[in-house]
Amino acid sequence: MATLRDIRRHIRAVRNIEQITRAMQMVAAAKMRRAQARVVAVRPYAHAMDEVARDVAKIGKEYHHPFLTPREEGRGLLILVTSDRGLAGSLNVNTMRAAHSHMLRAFGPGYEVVAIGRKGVEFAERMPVRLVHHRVGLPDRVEMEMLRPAVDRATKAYLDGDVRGIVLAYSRFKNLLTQVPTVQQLVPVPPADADEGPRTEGDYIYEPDGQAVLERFMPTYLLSQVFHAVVEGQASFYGAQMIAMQNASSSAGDVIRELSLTANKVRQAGITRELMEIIGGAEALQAARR
Amino acid sequence: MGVATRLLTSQRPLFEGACDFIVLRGADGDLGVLPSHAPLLTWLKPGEVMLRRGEREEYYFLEDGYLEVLPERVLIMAQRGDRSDAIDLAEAEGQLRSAEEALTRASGSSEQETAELEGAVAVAAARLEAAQLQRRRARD
Repeated sequence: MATLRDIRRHIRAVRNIEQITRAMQMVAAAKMRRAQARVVAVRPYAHAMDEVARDVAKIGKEYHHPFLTPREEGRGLLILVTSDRGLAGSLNVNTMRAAHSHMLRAFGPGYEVVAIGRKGVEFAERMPVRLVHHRVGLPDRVEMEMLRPAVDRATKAYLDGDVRGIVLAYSRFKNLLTQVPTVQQLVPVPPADADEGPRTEGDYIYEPDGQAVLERFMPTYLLSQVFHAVVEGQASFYGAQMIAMQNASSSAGDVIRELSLTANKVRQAGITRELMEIIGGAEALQAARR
Repeated sequence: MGVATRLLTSQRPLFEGACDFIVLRGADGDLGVLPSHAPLLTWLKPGEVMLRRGEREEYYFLEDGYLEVLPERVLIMAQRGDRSDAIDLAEAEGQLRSAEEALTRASGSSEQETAELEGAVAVAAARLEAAQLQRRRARD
């Protein structure tokens, strides 16, 4: 049986862990609030860019940009947005599982991966896929331009004809308790549904012309979606980490309570044993005197 | 009755509401948008957007913008942008100067690099112009 000293040492160790997880929880909560404000500010822009791309896919006729034209041949390309660090529960695993099963269903094995975030890089190295580009160590205040190399790489793969579809996977920040693994088809651009988008039949007027506008717009569309995914992913990460650390802190509390109980029992047993010994000794002395 | 208009940047939304008249710097030159305009898609040159609502006129400076017009709504999306009255004139002057210096220093570098630096100068010049226009309007 463990001695009182061992148990007390164990309690101290767990208490130290609890202090660290509680501190991490506070930091994650503060960063999460900032990231959440960012998500709310970025969403309208990203949704508008997506809306316009889908409108063009629905009514555009003047110029058929390659992003609007479905293909038969080629692999799939996954832009996988994950966090760099862990300690966030099953956040990244959920995103990667959803992405992987979608890619297998839509394109089959051996698809290409552009990984944004270290966890995604590790995933791509472990799985039978081709990691063609990666970006890690993005700051919390990420800017759109920082993602351009990754997006350019994906665009090139598509325009060169190596791939027939670009898919984006990330963790959407629903609220601080819920992160939703999200898989979004970027290319070919899915047309707006019949009841959405422009109610007109005719095409747009393009200035200066369809080709010039769309060749400029489509890469920006892709960039805006990836940027949005990264911002969502950051908020999700801090949300998930906050919850994970909260759970860890409360588990540490449980362990400390249990250990304290054991320590008290051991201490009580020790006192009882000493008392028994004293009483036993006293009785033996009395018996000897008689 | 105005047209439902949204002005959004990648940093944050700037405006949402009904506008009676909009003036922007389109790819083919300045253009005005009234309600029930035909569908239109264009990119925007770096420069000012004017939104008129009743008697009020609001000015914004946008970079890397796109405009989608549908009869029932107008969407303006820009990578960066702000209200014109939020631009600091001295800061805008400094930005233009450093952009021009960077371009001079980089003479002889690759074509793509030069193009990017020229773009930065154009943006800085347009931003300074917006700040000057804003100052003139404030004085009137």
